[in-house]
Amino acid sequence: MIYLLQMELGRSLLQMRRYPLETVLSFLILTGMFFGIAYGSTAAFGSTVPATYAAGITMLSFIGWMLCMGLLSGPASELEAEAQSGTVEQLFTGGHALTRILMVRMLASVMVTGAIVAVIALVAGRVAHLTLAPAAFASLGLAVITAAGGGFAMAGCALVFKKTRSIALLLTFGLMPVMMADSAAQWIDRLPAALLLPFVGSMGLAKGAILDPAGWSWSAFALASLASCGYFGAGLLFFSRMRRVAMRRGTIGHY
Amino acid sequence: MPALEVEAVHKRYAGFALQPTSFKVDPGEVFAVLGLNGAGKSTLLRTIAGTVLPDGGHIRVNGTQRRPGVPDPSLSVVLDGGRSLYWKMSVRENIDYFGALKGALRRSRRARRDEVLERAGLTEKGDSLVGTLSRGMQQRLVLAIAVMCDPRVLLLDEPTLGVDLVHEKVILQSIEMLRDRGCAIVLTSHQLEFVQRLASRALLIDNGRPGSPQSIDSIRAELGRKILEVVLEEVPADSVVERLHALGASVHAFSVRADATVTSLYSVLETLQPAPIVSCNFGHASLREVMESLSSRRVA
Repeated sequence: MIYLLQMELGRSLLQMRRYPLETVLSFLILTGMFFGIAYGSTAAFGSTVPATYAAGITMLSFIGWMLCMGLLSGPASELEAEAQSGTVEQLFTGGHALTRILMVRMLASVMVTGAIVAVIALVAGRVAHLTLAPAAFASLGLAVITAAGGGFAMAGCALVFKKTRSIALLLTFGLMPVMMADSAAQWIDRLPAALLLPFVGSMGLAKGAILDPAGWSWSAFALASLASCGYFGAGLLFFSRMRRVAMRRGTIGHY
Repeated sequence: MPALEVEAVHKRYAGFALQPTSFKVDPGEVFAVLGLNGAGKSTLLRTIAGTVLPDGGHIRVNGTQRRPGVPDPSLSVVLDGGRSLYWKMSVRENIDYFGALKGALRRSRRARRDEVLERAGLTEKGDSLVGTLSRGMQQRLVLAIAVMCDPRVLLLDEPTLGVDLVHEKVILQSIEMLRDRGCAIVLTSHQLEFVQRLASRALLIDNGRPGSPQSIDSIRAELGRKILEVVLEEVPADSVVERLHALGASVHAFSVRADATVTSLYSVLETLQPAPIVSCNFGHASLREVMESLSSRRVA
């Protein structure tokens, strides 16, 4: 499994090396965005506490959006591409279960994207005098787990329906809470069940950890963890069902 | 114990049905699955590979029941004529990546990579992108990758599709080497010469209907059989068709086919008189006729 992860990481880095223009442009765009957020917030509010909060929350939301979007649509689009190139059946008939391969690929994607974004965010964060609390990252991890469940569901759709771009676009709306989620503290008092909605609890907690670190709620974290694991499990189950449907129809290698 | 046992495996899609199919392949045996396009050969291979769920039947690899979707390292597969490589990765990178996918260990990576390169005859091409290799080289690489973890059973779907004679010979030698090492091989191919050189037995499938496994010699004898074909200007009357059937001839619309013997020629022409004849030719038996003829015989 570790060897497979190594190979997947190698493959991701290889893609970056093989398409240098795409890599450099992505890096420049990301850097521009994060520095834009940092400089924009200090330009609007000066070097004040609201400026730090605004920059921190926007950056965190943006990191969350990038990671979750990659996880949601990445495995499905890879399976689509592999069905076209003819390698998808090799994944199916190798020594590892397809679920494990996809899991490793998601992990590699989070590690590569996360590392790049984290470095840029840390450098940009210094401009806005930003410090991100570890609790915020733990909550962001819950959002990533939820997105991984969605990624499995999308991959299942890709095995059966082959083209899933429209479903991915539709699911983009489901990612709104990543950007828009209110601080979890607001929900605990008003409507705790809202924390069970996808990304609402996890991203709400992450933002709350920046806005009000003292107001951290373990019960809200437990509820959000439960929701994230539930979504992950549901995604896996859906994937397993769809894989069986594709095998019954004999369309695994089709495009 | 057979390396592979397929017992009453059947599959139905919309518009196609693979009838219950059974055969066994021993270690060190090459078994061919023959048939026209759309006959069901690839469906059968994919069902054994585990990418298609059968409606019923049993598949055993080394005596163990095969569970679809569950990886089995003792079985390796080359489907789609060996297209399955990452074209934007180099030969070495493909070997390493597929090695990891097949569950190979990291510590033996270098030795395994060198062995695969040598087996594929691509030692000089290790750093080349797969997309820049010729079709024949890609096929050789796919085959070498498929056997890098020493499978007990190998499934090959059209391993020589679109390759020239030089590469075909290399692929043939690779398969012979695997066979001699005790690997049970099931292959499909439209190149009967290729099949005849490798396989000891074959199963013919016609439109989803399998015959019984036959020795290659009996198939070769049937394929060498000459057939008389008489094409008529109009469909013969029912009474004439009955008399033709009694002679052992088959009638399909305007065409009458019978064994190409002098007796048969005279009998058929006499029966058809005075119907106008468009043409009268001798040709080889079609795969379907061979199958119909063989299906009534015992397994060799």
